[in-house]
Amino acid sequence: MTRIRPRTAALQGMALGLVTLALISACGSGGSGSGAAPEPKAVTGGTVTIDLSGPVTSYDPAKGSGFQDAEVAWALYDSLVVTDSDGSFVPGLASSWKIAPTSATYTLKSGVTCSDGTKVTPTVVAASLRRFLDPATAAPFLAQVTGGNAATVTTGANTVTVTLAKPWAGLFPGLASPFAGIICPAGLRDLNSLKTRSAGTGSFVSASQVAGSNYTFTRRTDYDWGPKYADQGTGTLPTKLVMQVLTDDNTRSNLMATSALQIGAFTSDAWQKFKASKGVKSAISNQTDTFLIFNEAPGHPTADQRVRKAVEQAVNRQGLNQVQSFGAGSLITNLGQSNYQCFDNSLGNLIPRYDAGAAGQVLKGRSLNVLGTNVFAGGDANSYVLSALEAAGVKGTLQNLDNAAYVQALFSGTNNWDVAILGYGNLLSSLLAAGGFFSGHAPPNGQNLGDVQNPTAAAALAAAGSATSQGAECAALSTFQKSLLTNADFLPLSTVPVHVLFAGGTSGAVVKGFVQPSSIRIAQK
Amino acid sequence: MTSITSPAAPVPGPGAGAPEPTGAQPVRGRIARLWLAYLARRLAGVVAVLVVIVLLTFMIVRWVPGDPARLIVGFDAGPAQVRQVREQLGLTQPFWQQFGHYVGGLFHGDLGTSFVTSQPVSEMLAQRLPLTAQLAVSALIVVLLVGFLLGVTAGVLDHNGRGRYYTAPFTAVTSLVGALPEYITGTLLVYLFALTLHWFPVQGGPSFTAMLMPALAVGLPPAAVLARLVRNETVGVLSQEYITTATSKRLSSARLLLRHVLPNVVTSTLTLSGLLLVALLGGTVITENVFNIPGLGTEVVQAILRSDYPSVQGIILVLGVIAVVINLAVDITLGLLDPRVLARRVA
Repeated sequence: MTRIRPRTAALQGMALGLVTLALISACGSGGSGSGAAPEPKAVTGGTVTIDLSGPVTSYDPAKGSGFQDAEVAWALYDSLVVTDSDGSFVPGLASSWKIAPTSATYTLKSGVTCSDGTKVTPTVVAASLRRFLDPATAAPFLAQVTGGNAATVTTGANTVTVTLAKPWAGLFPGLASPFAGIICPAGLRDLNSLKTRSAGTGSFVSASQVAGSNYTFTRRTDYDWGPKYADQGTGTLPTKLVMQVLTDDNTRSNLMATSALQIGAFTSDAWQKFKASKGVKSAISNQTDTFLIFNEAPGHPTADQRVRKAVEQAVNRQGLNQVQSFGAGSLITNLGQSNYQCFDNSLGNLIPRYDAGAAGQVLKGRSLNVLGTNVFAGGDANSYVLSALEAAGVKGTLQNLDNAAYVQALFSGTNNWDVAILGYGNLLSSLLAAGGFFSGHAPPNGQNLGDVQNPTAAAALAAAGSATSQGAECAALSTFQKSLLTNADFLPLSTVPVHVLFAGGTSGAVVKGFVQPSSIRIAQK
Repeated sequence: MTSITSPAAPVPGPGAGAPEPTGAQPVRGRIARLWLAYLARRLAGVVAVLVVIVLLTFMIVRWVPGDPARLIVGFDAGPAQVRQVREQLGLTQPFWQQFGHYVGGLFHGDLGTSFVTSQPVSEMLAQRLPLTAQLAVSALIVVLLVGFLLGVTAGVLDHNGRGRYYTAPFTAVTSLVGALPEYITGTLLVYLFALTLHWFPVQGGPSFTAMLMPALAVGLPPAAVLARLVRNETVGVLSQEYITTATSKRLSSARLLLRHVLPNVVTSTLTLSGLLLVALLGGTVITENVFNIPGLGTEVVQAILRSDYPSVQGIILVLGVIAVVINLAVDITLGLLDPRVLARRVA
């Protein structure tokens, strides 16, 4: 029997492989894949599937902290007040409100009921708030709302008042967060049930879940007290809302192309596949703010202010923005975006200009360890920073980590980084909230990530938190940021927006990159 | 018909329908003793493996740097909240106390509660294990159907002297497919059959159409490897003298194949299938992520990344139990098919 020599077999194998690939390519270039944009089908049956960035901790809003917890809390619960896309506050369960330095008083809307039919009264709201504000609850968001101050809740005929022991500027915006959503009496009586069952006044009610994979909610037909967002669409609220955990933009895009997903938020450029799709609408919304931060703990090269300044000079912020968000982000000059309260336009003058030559004079031969998350564009921005530093003569190393590992690296107190890109999804749109990362104890006993020792800044931040007027708060925040920038304690980089796509005739209001579930509508044919 | 005997020919086991020789009682007694000794040794091994799995997973997940409490509460929480959550999770207790609680729970069927989703781990397993098992078994069917049929066919063709037409393409295709990792196979399948031809959904699931592509992604590469092994095995069996004798007795090709070739090939294939099923369970981890299937694979990745100790421990324990049970089942089946295996292993 004639045996084919191995080499001939290998060549034939290669040829076969190439033919296979050519066939696949040929198939790919036919049909709908011929460069034509995908056209997802219109929603039928009233079910809308929306993506979720990770597993949900609990249906207990007070226990939530992540983006996905916020999205679910918005669907199942109402807060007294909510934030709109322009940063303004719009009524939630409260029809009006009054803010004082140490308190916030809310007048409640009438006719609001819980999903089990219980009427929402000031007593109901107060009970939920008391539980949220009780330190024993260990609500992760508590410090942002109270600033560590003791809080009391009192009720009037149709009002609820939250009072702090000392002034704290974050009280009102903090109570507008989804984590301060009002839990109904049934949920408070059986807190354990909130892990998997909702007890709120929101537009949806929990139905079923495969924890960590998908969460299904059904519409409340009597829901008519929800917030009215500026860019709310028209049509009907979905009868069923499925939140599907998706951690990858390609999967997101594939599911949307095959009509298995109607609403998806993209941080990469995978959304561009739908750019020419007639039935897909897109909205761009700034979600995360990014900063370059430095480890100033003793022993780190970045403890030296000259090194920090040089690093700031070495990084081209415009170029970094191109890499980080495919150019979709906006450069920032504060600890947040221009629509945040107390944003100071004058701080742009304190941002060092890109000057690789000057940076090289200080950085040449130094060793620096760069840390970043791969959430944004797969971590290309981290590589960009490393390249910029290496171009300035630095012997650099990079930790381009999964987001969970990145959070651990920042907060564990192991301190094995020098320069990091900090991405902060500032749900409160508050400069005060972001300020906490530059003051107080260093991890693991605090949130001062870079162990910044800047007494002027620390005093200004404390003054901003306890300010009794907005003017005083803004003045203090300006002093705080000026001091940090002058001392090269951080470098504002840019926003990282998300492209939210709506397919199949759906629409919705997008706030800080999140679709507000109560605003989702299916266009009527 | 005169029976064909050879060292490789299958030996009928007890109860196989063969007439019992004189002195069957001592033989049966000896086989029973062999089985008892064999099962006792295997069960002791199973217990030892499970103890090691429980101990190792408990220790390893805690050796990985990270604070689950910080991951749960996120960026905004202050140290006081982190401390409270750590206490609530029982992470402030001494290591051995935590281990004691875990093992105590295991004896009561309590695998703990997920740090991340607040769901009891047993409930999570009940929701996700069926999908993973379905994927692994579907993939095994792909492996056995494709690998076995392709291998036997190639072997027979080769033996019949027609190998020169088929060997090269067979080698090329099996080399190419066998070398592809699951995520490449999966991505190609999604691109071709879901996005381009729209025959199957992108999202994997329990239905036939939603499970076919994931099963192919997991099963095709090992099927290609198995096909090559089966082909070689078939060629080897067909070269044996007893086959030549059987052929000279003018047995039909079908009879020859079904009666004398396949049983010998099956023994080695079965051994391999057990190992393959265990390996396929591992392969599902990647494929579940490609097809977004809510099985144990997607969960274990998330659980590891988020330091969700109870979930990681639960999943690894269950997968370990499954692997041990499959290996045990394969060994018992082999012992039933060929008692010589039993004697060898006990010896």
